[in-house]
Amino acid sequence: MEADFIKMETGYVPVEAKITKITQPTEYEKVFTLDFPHKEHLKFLPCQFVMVSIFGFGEAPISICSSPDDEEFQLCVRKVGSLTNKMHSLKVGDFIGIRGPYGNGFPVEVLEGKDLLFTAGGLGLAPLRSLIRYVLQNREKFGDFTLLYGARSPHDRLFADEISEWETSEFVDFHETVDIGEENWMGNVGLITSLFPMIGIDPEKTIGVIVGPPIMYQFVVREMLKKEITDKNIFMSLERRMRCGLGKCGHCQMNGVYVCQEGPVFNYVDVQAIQEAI
Amino acid sequence: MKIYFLPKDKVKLLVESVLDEFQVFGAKAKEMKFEFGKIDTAAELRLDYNTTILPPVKTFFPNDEKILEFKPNGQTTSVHENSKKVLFGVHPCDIHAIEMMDNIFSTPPEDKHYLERRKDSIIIGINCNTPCSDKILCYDKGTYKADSGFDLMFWDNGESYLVEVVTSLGNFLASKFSYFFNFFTEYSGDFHEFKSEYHKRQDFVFEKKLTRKISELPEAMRQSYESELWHEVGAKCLSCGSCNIVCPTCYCFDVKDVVDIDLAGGHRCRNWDSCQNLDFACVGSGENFREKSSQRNRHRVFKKEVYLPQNKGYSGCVGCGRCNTACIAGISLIDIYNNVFSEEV
Ligand SMILES: Cc1cc2nc3c(=O)[nH]c(=O)nc-3n(C[C@H](O)[C@H](O)[C@H](O)COP(=O)(O)OP(=O)(O)OC[C@H]3O[C@@H](n4cnc5c(N)ncnc54)[C@H](O)[C@@H]3O)c2cc1C
Ligand code: SF4
Ligand code: SF4
Ligand code: FES
Repeated sequence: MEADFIKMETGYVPVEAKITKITQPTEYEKVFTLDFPHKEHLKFLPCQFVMVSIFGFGEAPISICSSPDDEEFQLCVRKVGSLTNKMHSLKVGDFIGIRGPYGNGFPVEVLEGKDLLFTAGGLGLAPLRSLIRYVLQNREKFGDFTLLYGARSPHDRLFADEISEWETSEFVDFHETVDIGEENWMGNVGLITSLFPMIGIDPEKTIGVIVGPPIMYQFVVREMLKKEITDKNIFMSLERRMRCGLGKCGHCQMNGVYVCQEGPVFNYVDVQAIQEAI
Repeated sequence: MKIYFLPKDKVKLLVESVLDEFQVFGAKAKEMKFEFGKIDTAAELRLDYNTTILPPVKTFFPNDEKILEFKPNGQTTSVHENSKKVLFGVHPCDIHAIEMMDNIFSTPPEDKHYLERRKDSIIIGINCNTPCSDKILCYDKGTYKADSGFDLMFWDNGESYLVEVVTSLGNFLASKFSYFFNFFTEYSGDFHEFKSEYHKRQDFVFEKKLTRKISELPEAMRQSYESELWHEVGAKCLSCGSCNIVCPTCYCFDVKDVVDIDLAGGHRCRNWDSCQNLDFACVGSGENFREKSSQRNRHRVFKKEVYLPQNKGYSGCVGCGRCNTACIAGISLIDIYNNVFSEEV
């Protein structure tokens, strides 16, 4: 796929996007579907993000959770602070500011012809969903597809409807777990690493992808290496504080690397050279 | 390149004429120190200052800078300031800092807010006869002199200045005030010789502060990543951020919204930020990627002496000494650099 996302010459000026649909998968997360004035605003790569802006409440980087091949443009937002709390109070028909897309996005061409092992922890499923949907929409381009997802509790599971589809789908080998179970939960209980013994992969052909909370990376990398996936075949998307998305404000820096410019997607070989990365 | 004579007692006249046509920024006395700011009268401007509390480059990157305006009708517009400015009397270290910031903000994606402010500005440099304090590193860094980054340069020549005109903007200013510059005569001597004599005099009074050559610093610094030194520095540091705020080459910022009293409109602005603040690298989930003061101190110094050299090919410190002066905890880059040099084997 070509990286034909638009260059925003406008600096900090956001585009007005209209909220056309809101769903609430969990107590703290909502999924917003947005409509843009021009269709070219919808061009992006999986794992890119946008700066969401509401005047008076600031800006925050939010990953695009829909696929570039989807009709709908979606963001999944967890309420944690100023901007995200305000966003949760908005209704269908309200407008929000969007600038971007920013970041390198996922180099989807490296996945073509390969077996895939995706690992998502918590809200990491949101950015990864973009890539998951893209893979499912272009299924013939990829080999075996294994998807692992770990949520804190059954209550915290995102995109439950899609998960039900993945569970029964012949196109993806899906496994999930929760850290803490509940009475009615019939599924796995345990950390995401506990899913690794259940899966069989061909390390020669497999690309591993990891998106999740900071604590998760070291542990999942270890599991992937145990499965003999090589360093250069492991990719991950990293989160940092971001105030500009333009490689200037300095907040997203890990050592000499600006995550908003060179990331958020990194190859594990590069990550090992960045002490502050994981 | 043209060189003019400007008798020192005529400087005031020149400043007055420049003030008629431009906004002038320069050094002026503030209590026992000097600040760099807008000059309203020629008498205010001081060319004999040591250093300014805040550096000249902040003229193009002011704190609390309006970047967007939200109109009550829902419209959002980008705010830019592009008045013609003359920065009158900028020291070589600060000229180097402006050159560096020009590069940072013009690296894509360009920052139009800085570049618009900078675009039509004329930089008049003034060389330093003597070191401005014992906290500086400019002689080690080679930034006590500048070969570019200015439109005009003032060289002290006793009773007069020699004014070196180097750029088209400098020429523009000189021709605009040609009645001035032509009134004073062109310099007929050998300017190269004058310069080398001037620098020789500097060599007598400026001293090196570092135990080794500055070119060896990035590698020595890299080696110090796990050093105990950062814990020692971290233990002293109060995380006040003064070192970043006064620095001519620090450009990290935060973005904040300001709502008008009528709640209808307002603006988005950027504020200088400091990588020494505890929450600088803190994310929504609560994870703080540089939680320890030692990590933050290392980051400040590494950004200047390792990451920028690596990414851009230049150091992010021009040796002006402002951070060393501002630090109430007594932390000094001179000590840090020498420690790093002495540790490396
Ligand atoms: C590339 C990228 C992609 C992302 N994708 C998503 C996504 O898809 N969905 C999503 O929900 N989030 C995502 N995030 C995270 C999101 O950007 C943050 O959660 C963001 O902080 C939310 O902004 P806010 O204004 O709501 O919160 P803020 O008001 O910034 O507050 C965030 C948290 O920081 C704390 N905090 C704020 N200011 C301070 C302070 N001065 N001192 C100490 N603590 C403070 C708050 O208490 C709160 O817990 C992403 C982040 C990145 C970098
Ligand atoms: S780090 Fe200190 S000495 Fe270096 S340019 Fe900044 S304020 Fe000046
Ligand atoms: S000025 Fe000194 S005390 Fe303050 S943050 Fe900088 S190093 Fe620490
Ligand atoms: S978010 Fe500002 S530099 Fe990356």
